[in-house]
Formats: sequence, C-alpha cells, structure tokens
Amino acid sequence: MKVRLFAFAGLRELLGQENLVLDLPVSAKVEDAIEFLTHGYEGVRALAPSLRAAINQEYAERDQLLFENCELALFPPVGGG
Amino acid sequence: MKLFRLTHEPLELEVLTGLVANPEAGAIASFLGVTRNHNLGQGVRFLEYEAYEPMALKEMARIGREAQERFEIKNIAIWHRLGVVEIGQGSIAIAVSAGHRQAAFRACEFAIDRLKEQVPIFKKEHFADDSTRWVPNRTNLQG
Repeated sequence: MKVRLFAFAGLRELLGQENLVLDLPVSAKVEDAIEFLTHGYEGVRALAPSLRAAINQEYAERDQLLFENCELALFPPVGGG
Repeated sequence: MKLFRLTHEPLELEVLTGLVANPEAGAIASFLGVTRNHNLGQGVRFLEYEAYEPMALKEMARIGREAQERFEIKNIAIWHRLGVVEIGQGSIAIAVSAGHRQAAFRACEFAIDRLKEQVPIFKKEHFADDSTRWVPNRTNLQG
C-alpha cells in the first residue's frame, strides 16, 4: 500500500526531501515505516528513537496501523515557542 | 483576522490584543516569546522555524479550545512566526481576554506551555561559525 510520508526538521534533511511516497505491506505500522527509512537513509537510525509520528495530522503511537494513502508525518521533538 | 496563525511576517502584540478584545473583558494578558542570542553557551546568530503547518494549526486551535474549557476566558489568539527570525524578535505571540486578570494570566501560561510540548513547529539555531542545530524544547527531551 502507498503511504504519503511528510518529514520535518532533522529528518527532512536526512531524507533530502519533505515528501516521499512509501510502498509498505498492508498492515504495516508506524514503527515499520520508521524501520524502512533506517535502511534506506544514513543517519535515520540515530534519530529514530526520538521521532514522533502523526497519521492524518493526529498524533499516533508506534504500534498504530497505517492505511492506504494515509498521511504519515515523522518529526523530532518539537521546538516551537 | 485569524485567531490561530502561522506567519512569516513580524509579530505585533497589538494585532493579537485587538483580535481578542471583548466588551465584557476586564483584562487582556499577552505573551511574546523572543529569540535569544545564546543557548547552552554558544552564540546564536539567528533562528529559523518550520512547521507541519496544517497539523500545527489544528493543535493551536485545540489548545485554544482547552484553554476555553479550563479557564474563564473570553477569547484567545496564538500566532507563531516561521522562517528566519532575527535575535530579539518575537517568535510566538499569545493574547487572552477574560473577565478578570487571573484567568487571563493562567490561560496565557497554559497556552505557551502546551504549545512547547505538542505543536509540530521546529527550531533551528544558526551559530556564529555557520554551523546549525535543530533544537527541541527542553520539556520534550527524553531521559
């Protein structure tokens, strides 16, 4: 299934782009998408433990299921203010 | 004008206090977070902010709703700046109107505390030696 990935801050820089389309198996979870990125992109593994996730703009846990065409955002701890 | 906004323009508190003005309000509390020229002993030249904009706006509006539920306030506005912010300029502005000052002060503090925890906005420090670093808020660091 296709998942639309949005990456921010340090993760965006490691991926070299803000948007990616991931092709993941049906029933993949947030943690599977992160694991997928750690294999394809240098430096992601070091960042992975701190990443927060959101599915369709709502915070999501690591074991939450992704679904076809969902919007998955991954980003490091926030720094606004 | 919108109560919750992300903008690349300089922030002006008067704009926000105007937005929350209410004839039944006896107080308007406001907060302006400004960029500091140092962090953890290093000299910072300027800051740069980016956001997951649609989600950040949703989370800012959520904080507004939570503030309305928790405190006796009339209205609340939260604006955050994006892009390059020079030292000493405002990066976050909040204004709250209420019948009485206590609720306005408390809601203002509640809003900035929650924003720093949960709104997907990211800050990059640019140092004097041209190095850069993404900086999470201290409350969000693990361990």
